Formats: sequence, structure tokens, C-alpha cells
Amino acid sequence: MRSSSREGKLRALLSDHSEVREYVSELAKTYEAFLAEDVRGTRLAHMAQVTQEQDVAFDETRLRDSNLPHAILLLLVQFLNKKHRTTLYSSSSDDSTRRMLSPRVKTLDKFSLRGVEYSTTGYRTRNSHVLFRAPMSNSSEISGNLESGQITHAFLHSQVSAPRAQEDEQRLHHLSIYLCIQPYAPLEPELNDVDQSYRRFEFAGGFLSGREFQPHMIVDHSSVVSHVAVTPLEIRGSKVLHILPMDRVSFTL
Amino acid sequence: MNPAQSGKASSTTGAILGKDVMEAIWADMALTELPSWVTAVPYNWGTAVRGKLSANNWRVICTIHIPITLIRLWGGDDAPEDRKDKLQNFMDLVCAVQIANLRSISKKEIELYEHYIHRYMTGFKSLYKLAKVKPIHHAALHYGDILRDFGPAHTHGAAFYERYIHSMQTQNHNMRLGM
Repeated sequence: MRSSSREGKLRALLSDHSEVREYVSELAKTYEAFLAEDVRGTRLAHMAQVTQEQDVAFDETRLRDSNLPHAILLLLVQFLNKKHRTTLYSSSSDDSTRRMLSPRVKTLDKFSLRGVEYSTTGYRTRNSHVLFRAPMSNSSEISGNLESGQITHAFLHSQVSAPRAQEDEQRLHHLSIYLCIQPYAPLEPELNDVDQSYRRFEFAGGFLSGREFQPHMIVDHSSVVSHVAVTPLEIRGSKVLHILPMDRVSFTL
Repeated sequence: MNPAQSGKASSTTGAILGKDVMEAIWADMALTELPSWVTAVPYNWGTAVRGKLSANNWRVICTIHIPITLIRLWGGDDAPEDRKDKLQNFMDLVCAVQIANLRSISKKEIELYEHYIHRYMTGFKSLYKLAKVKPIHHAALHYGDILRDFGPAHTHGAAFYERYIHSMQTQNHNMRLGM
């Protein structure tokens, strides 16, 4: 009882006194994260706005300037044109009516999405396996089928952000993180019956996919659904991967 | 058909998962790559040497590791009918546990939880005639009402209080409790 009362007083002190808050800013940030730990994802949290947690967050000190390989820049241009339903973006300066995207980006090796840490395969492989909504190849829709794959690159591109966001470093948080993902190859048709025995149990059973990778694709962070658990299996002499979605907010498959 | 599929090893001991199935699960488990926020379970769970496991360990084993292997062994068309039934029954429990542990929950999901847990209990009684229905089974049948009244499990689960107590116990209080 006493500790709860003290906790209440401390919260009031931190929220009412800007001077105190400034003095213990680092402590306050950690304390808020601690307080929000168990209300994250609840309706009460959203109603009461107990947590100021953002959908996407990353450590700005870990951003590194880098140049995108041309193949990935091309994919980014395609993705942006499809997303904005335009032909505005281009990877070359030939056409003056179009906006040439620079290959200069800020790369990051890990980021937090809805409170869950994701990373590139080079930084921490186990956090790079994801379930995501892949852009549909022959449609203007940017969110299509659910696929699984591995995040190979994550980056911010300042040219595709809102102008105001470039002025203010703090607003970097509101930018999209672009992810370069290598999807796992589809399963060979002869193993469809085994795949169906997993898919029969939907989100609890997962599914099978090939072990090889398909060509890279670009999505933004909003397309990421969840982590997946990945298990290499050998079934009837074929090397496959079992994919199990690890979504704790909803069951998707 | 391999021994793990036929369940021959289990028939002699009365165990549902025989040594062969356990070995298959351990082998797959060693290869599974999990996100960093999922607690890894002991590689030799289920043995006398390892002893008891935490509730979270059991949750990870039952919702991740066992389904991956058991569906492969018992989910095919060529698997014996009783194995298929037992797999279906176990997966009903897994579905119920997955829904009960969601971080956010809706009325539809609660109804789905109730559907799976009822089907699990009905199957449990018909498949395992000698097994007793324990109070935990009874409580699980009422858990839908608790979710309906109090929201997702983590908002009223004991894990929060346990962690909070642990956190308080680690504070320096100069040997005077309550400070």
C-alpha cells in the first residue's frame, strides 16, 4: 500500500514538475518504460494513453550513412511508385520530370516495432525472421499475401519523408523504415500434403516453405506482422523450413 | 512408417510420447531458431535429470516445439487413427492456450477460446478414459468468463505481481521492509 502510494506520488512529481523531469530525464524515460510494460497492447492503455510508446522506434546513435546497391535502389523506386500510385520516383536523372532518388540512406541494424525488437540478419539472425505482407506483383495494392522471409537490410531514406520531418531530428521517429527482405521460396508441390497437415491447425501449426531464398523485395515497417520461429526439416528427402508465426497480439495466418 | 509414427515404444509403457518421439522433438528443437524474446527451454526437458520446468517453459514446449514435430509424425494420412485423434486433441489445447495468452483479446477470440477448450475437454474424456479430470481442467473451462471480465491474461496474471515483488525485493531498503 505504501509503495503504491509512493509510486503515485512519484508519477505526479515527474509529470507536474518540468524542472525535476529535466533533471532526471534518463530515469523518467526508463521508469515510464517500466510502468508501461504490462499495459502494452491493452484497450485500457490506449484509452487512458498510459503509454506514450510509438509504433516504431530505434536508436539514432546507431544510424550509419551508407549507399544502397543499385538493385535495391531500383526495388525501392518500384515500391514507392506502387505505394503512392505514381511514377514520380526514378533511380536515374535522365527524366527531369521525375524525382531521382539518391542511393544515400541511413542504415540501421535493429529497430523496435510495437515494442518488439527486429533486426537485420547480419546483426542478429534470430530476430530477422519475419512474417510480412508482401506487395502484390500485378496489382497496385502494396499489401498482399502473407509471406515469410529474412530482413537483410533496414534503412531510412530522407528524400521520401515529409519535408518537416527533415528539419527536426526528433521527427525521425515518424519516418518509415524501409526493409529489404528475402522471402523464402515456395514449397515443392509434392510436399503439399505435409504442408496441409500443418496448415490445418492454422496459427498453431504454421506451414512449410522451401529453404532457398526468392529475390529481394522492399516493404516498409507497417508490412511486418510478427516474428516467426524457423526450423529446418528434412521431409521425404527434401530440405524444407517449418515456419511458425509468433504473433502475441492476434493470430494471423 | 517409422516407430515414432506408430507409437510402438509408447504402447509398452503407457506413455503417450515414447522415447522415440521425445528424441525426434529434442532433435528438431535443437534446430529451431526462436526470436530473442522467447525463453529457450532446457535441451533435455522431460527427463528425470532435468526435473521440473517452469510454467513458461511448458508453454514454449507445448505451443512451439511439440507441434512442429508431432504434426510431422502424427499428422499425415498414413498415421494411425488414434495418433491423429490425439494430435487433434492436443492441438485444440494449443489453440486455446495461444488465444488465452494473446496480449489483446476480443469477444470473438474469447468465443474461439471457449470452442477449443470445450472440444479439448470432450476429446480428453473420450481419448484418455483412465485420466482424471483435475481442478485445472475445470478452471480452464471458466477462463473465458475471466477474459471477458478482466481482459487479456497479462493484465491479471500473477506473473506481473511476481515480477513486481522480485523487483521490490532487489531494492536497497536497509533491512527495513516497507520502506
